[in-house]
Amino acid sequence: MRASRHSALRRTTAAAGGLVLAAAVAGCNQTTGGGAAGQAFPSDTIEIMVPAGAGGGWDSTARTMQEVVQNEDLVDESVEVFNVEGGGGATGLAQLQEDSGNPHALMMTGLVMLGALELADSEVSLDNTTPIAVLTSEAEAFVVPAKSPFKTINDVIDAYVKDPSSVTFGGGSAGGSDQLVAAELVQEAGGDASEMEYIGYSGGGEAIAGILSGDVEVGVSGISEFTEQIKGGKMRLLAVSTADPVEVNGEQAPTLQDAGYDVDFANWRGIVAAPGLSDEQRDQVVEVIDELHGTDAWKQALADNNWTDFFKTGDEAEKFIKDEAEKTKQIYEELGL
Amino acid sequence: MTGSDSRELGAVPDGGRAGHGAEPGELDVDDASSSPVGPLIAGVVMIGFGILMLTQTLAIKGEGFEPEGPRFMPMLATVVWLGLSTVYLVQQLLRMARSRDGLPVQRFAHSGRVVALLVLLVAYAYAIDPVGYIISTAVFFVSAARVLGSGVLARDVTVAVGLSVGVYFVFTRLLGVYLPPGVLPL
Amino acid sequence: MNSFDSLLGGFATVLSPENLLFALIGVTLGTLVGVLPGIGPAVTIALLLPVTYNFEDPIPAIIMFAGIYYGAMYGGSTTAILLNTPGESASVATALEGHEMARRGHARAALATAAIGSFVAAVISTTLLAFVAEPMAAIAVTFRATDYFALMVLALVTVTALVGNSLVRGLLSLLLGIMIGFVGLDAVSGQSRFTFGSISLFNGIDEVLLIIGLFAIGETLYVLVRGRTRPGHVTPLGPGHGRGQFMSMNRDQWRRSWAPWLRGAGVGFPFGVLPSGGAELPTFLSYSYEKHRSKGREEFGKGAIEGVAGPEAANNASFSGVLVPLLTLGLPTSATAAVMLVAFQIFNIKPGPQLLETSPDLVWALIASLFVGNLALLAINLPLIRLWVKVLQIPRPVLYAGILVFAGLGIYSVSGSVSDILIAYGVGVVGFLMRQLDFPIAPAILGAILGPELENQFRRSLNISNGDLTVFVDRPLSATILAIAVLALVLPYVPKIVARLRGKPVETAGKLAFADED
Repeated sequence: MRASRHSALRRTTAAAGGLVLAAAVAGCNQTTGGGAAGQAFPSDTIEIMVPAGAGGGWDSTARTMQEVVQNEDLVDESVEVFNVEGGGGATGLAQLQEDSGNPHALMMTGLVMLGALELADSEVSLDNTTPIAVLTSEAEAFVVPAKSPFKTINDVIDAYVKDPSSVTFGGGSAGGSDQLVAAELVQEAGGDASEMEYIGYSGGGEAIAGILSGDVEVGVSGISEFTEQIKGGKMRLLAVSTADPVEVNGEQAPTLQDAGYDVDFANWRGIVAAPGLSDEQRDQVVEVIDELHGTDAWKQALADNNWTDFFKTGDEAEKFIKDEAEKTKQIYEELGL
Repeated sequence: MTGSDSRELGAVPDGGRAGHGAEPGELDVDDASSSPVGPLIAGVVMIGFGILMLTQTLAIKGEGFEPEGPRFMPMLATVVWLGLSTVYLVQQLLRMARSRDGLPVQRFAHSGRVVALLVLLVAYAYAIDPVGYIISTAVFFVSAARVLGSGVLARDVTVAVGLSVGVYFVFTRLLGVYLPPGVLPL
Repeated sequence: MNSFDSLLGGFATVLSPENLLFALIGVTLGTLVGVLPGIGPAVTIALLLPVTYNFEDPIPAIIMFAGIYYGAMYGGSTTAILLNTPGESASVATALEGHEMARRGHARAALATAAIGSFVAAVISTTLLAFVAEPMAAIAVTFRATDYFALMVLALVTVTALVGNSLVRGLLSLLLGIMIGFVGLDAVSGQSRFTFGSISLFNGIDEVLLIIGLFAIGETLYVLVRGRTRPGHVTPLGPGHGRGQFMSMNRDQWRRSWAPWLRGAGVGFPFGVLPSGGAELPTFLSYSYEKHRSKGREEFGKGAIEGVAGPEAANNASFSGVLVPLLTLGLPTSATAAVMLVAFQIFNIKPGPQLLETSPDLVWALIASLFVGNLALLAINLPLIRLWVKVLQIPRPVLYAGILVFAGLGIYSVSGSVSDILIAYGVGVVGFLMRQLDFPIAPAILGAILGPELENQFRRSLNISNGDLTVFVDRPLSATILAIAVLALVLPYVPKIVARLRGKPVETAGKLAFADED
């Protein structure tokens, strides 16, 4: 369902303490569509759009950023996070276009979105944004419900190679990094990736419900999305996608390479701003993100969430995203998705 | 459930009839009078709307109408809509044929006032940002109350100013919801 | 932790002075708006949504909404009793008997039995909710996409078939809502649908705009056209505290009220839990039952207190019931529940089987706040009754102009763009025409909110089954629910069909619903 809050917040000013007056002034500026050149950033509430449902990886990244920026007083304005579901991020990306030129309109992005845009044959791409930074990378986790007959990742892959219709995979939006890593894995194991049944969910909560109810047999998503369920004993972690081991619930999780598959895959997440920003505006936003990256609170959050620090900003980020888009396109063609 | 279902149950006499102390300028109560034309027009309009939506359904990108795709459900909804609209129209025609009086529906009374109210609403929508919340709301309230049949200007103005100023300050200062100050130096 | 401990935790949250204040504000605001003629709880919540837009913490907001809801319900019964204009169909029975009581000088007793009955029923049903919530969530975890699809079909069918008086009009209203729900970018494929090429429609039509347009603006235009702009005749309250009375009711009235309260709660809760269209069916059943079994049957229609006590209790109890599918499945089964769902979404709370796990604090605080909200209602509403009577005497033009101002505020604060405001007005005109032509509104609201979700589950099921449509009947649970949905669709016509089979004239058989049929 659609998030009603986006537009609501657009018309909301920070009520906290002495900010009222400043916010009211900022409110006047709003109608002019963001700050003009030379204006300090931020001059208004920063709005981070999560182009997916609540409870997913983008959502928790954005909310962590919000928390750190506000708790550490990195900016004078407040930071709001809102969700726009749909199309693996395509809906949010389309909506971001409406805020062209406004440096306060930010959006989470990542590998997931590249794949989804590729799959949807979308008219807008990440070229229609102003890249700000790449922030984190995260291992993908393969999980099954606790009562599943699959005990190891090898069980899953063997079953799949024998009969692709015997296993249904499920995770984030179709075409996203979750499907990509599953496809890469079966391809590597000698299976036919184009036969794969994959069910995409637009939000971590829904995917968890789908895995636990038995709609899908094997869940694939960022490891942080399943941590609670693994800890609670409701899900079993079969493997993580990175070559570097990851610690989950006090234990070292098996990697795909441990299981004998030569896959090293990490899902990265970053943040972009609305298109049409001047270089000066972009650098102002980058500066805030840079400051955020330097805080201890952010480092702690990375550790807590099992995210790997993967920091690039500005031009470097722009180049990285472009390369990744190109790479994703290639993989898609190879896999015949 | 709905704000108006009471009417459908038909069991409730209108409490407003025994009006006492009516104000000058208040509207007359105008209740059910026979007019079969309304539902007929509605039936035709609904069919037209269905055809319009059908063209929109076909405009959705993609080929075929496989149930997993984005075109299937809109198509299903549109087709069923068209079918039911036709049934509705036929029902109304049959009913008209059955009884010469047609069915008891409310006549569109005071339609001039409805149009006036809609014009006011639209003007309000356009005025709220440039003029500001307080002034536009106060003016809107007074004019809307008049269209709705109020005849006591002094009271309306008092209420309008109190309401718009009150709402503005409660929402912007206490609740943090943005409302445009407009031309007032707030 | 068991449910009881969790509930105590919920009370610990709610009973902070700050949250108590929110509960009181909610009850007061809810009553104030709910007492307005023609304004039911769903609209009241929609109109008051902006109040909480900037709350950081969802818990006080949710507590406030619980207060608003109960306040609006009570306000509605006040209007029904004193003015004989029920704000929603669930108060119709109250209007029938309550207004007659008021005319005979027993207004205070009618208001008291409504308030105390609501309180008693709410306490019972909320207790049931507290103990049903966790087991229900555990069952809900096993529900698959096909089951969700079937449940949503059932919810839409019952709201359409069991409420209102024409299946054709109900279905058309439902379909209109569903088509509105499809407007925007498709969540799966990203294709734009029903947007007429306009980018401002890409994000769909906001539910808040829809609710305020259909309900508040539609209702005002409707009132204007019918010329009902005079203040109604408010029946006087009668003398205050009399001898031998406790809380405005005498011994005999208490004796006649308590059993209907309990029975009302007993009917209301289960019907609320099941997708059966909300409060209308249980209140009607309660009224019929009380009428049937009452010794003073001849008094019914002339102000029988049982006819107020039972339905009011059923009405309130059904709300706690409606919360069961709403919280554990994310499934709204009435217009009011749909508005609550929108309120949840504003705070990024996604009701469903995971909710109790991810936000237990919130769920238990909500359940606890239902108790507190009712207590607040009892504590402030009975003493303040004279104030609500004053509200009822406000001249109608002022009242409806005020409603339009609040509708405008709600629309503006949700979007702020002129085009969205105009869309809401357009929706309002549609709502007005629907009222004028006797189309029910609730199916449209529920269709718009559930429609996209229904499609989502439908496509997901087919993806899982590889496009095999038999997936919906293969699973016994889904098949059973779908069969019930079909049954709900034809059930209202059973008397007619039976009559036809027996060769009796169809006209005398009627329909198992609350009004005439085409």
